[in-house]
Amino acid sequence: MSVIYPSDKQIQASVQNICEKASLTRRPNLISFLRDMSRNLGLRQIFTGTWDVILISCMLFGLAAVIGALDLRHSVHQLQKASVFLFAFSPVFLFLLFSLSLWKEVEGTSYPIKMTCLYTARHLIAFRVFCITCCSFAVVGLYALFLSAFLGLPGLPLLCVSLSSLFLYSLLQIQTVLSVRSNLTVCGVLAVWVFGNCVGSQLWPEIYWELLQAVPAAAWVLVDLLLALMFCNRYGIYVRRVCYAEGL
Amino acid sequence: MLKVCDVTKRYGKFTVLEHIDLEFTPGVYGLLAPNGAGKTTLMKLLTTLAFPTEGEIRYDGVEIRTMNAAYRELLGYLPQQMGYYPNQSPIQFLSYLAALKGMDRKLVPDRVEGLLELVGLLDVKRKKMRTFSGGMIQRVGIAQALLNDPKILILDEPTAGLDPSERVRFRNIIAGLSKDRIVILSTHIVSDVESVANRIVFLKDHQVALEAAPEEICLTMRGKVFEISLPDTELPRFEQSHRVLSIRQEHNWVHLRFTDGDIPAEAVPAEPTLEDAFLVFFR
Repeated sequence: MSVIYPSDKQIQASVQNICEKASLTRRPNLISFLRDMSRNLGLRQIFTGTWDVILISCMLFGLAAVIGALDLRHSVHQLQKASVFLFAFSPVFLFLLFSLSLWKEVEGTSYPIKMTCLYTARHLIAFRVFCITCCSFAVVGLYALFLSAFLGLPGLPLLCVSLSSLFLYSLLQIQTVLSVRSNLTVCGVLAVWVFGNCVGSQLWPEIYWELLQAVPAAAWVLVDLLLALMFCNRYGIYVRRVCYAEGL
Repeated sequence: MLKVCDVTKRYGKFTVLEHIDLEFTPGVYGLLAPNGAGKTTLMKLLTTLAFPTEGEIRYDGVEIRTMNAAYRELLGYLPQQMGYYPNQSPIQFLSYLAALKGMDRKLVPDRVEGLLELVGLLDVKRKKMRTFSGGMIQRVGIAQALLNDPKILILDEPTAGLDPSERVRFRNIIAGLSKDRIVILSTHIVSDVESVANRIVFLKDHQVALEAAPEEICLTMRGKVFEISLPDTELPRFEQSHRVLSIRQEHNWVHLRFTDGDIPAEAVPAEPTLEDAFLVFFR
């Protein structure tokens, strides 16, 4: 039997690899990161100075939701329009909250101080969005169910469409705020998403509808579950990457 | 050691700082320059609020942008305009910032109390900050900059709005802090740094024009500053031929400190101050 021994080069590479891996600090997972964060900040601290922004976002979202529901009542293709509307509209609350919160932080005189702390204003905004996303699942879900009852439409497809949109948007929002340095770019990316959906649903509703209709309700459930997994996993990986990069 | 290596900062076509080379070791550094010379921009670069267009800033050999959160943990910063929440008390505000700085919750109450005592705000610790004067807000700002016991303390115009006794108190605090940390004070008020700074940095025309100890700077002016008393009617003529540094009016006479020009026989040599050097340098 002939034994193939590794070359010196291979041994050196392996040793190097082991040394590098051994010297890496353990990356915290999403749960431990959030636990540390909430232990340090607490929910009250995360939302310090933003209650007015939350109130404004709630009012605008509520107003748009009522107008949307009333407008849909008299439309011809209710299921089509309701689905398109919910896909575009579900993340609006997050967008409002995020934009107003970012604007308020950047314009605020405490912004320079916050940006020199361990948890910067950008971390705060990301945590706020994460918390609000969790609440939004319930609010948007209830709104989708209310719309289905109000219009006499099947609830499950509407619910799935709406939550899928929310997952996608939230993921995009958290990622951009933590990864892009320029506030203008962050807002630009998110504005394109929202405007793309709103304008697209108005200009090409048929294409939107085709897209949404092409996927049966069962598939939307699957998509939602996959997106949920991706959200937790991607966000978890992302947070871990940020934590590692920032030495948290 | 904090090292600024050949840093240039431009906003569009406008160059704010050009080829800045500085080294900061533990001690107090006074950054002196007239308004608009780029002091605040340099502060922003040192606090990672802005990044150099060219060059880099290193702390113990590591680029501060790479250090990221690790660098922010070492940092205490008081901006020119201290932001605060008017409805919060100093205790609430400092506790909030302590949380953002990632401090251990158990240590925060004692630390906050200690700092409020240091800046003389212990008796108003539960009052809302909207009732505070500018000087009191500034003191809260100084306290927040010290929260995490920073290794690098950067103070941008820290004495703005403080009354004379508060300024003295502030100077004493700074002197006590500089033992094992880098303190960088940006100001255009010379007396703020004269007594506490180990090194003075003069910024002129967007560049470092001079970096030296206050005594060294004063030495360069020795034998060049004089005092004289004149009838006030002669002042305009005297001002045309000499560089007047300060004027004190007394009845019909003026007492002047001046430099340059012919030295009249009645003039007596005066001990130069940092302010004299500043005035000569930036005129």
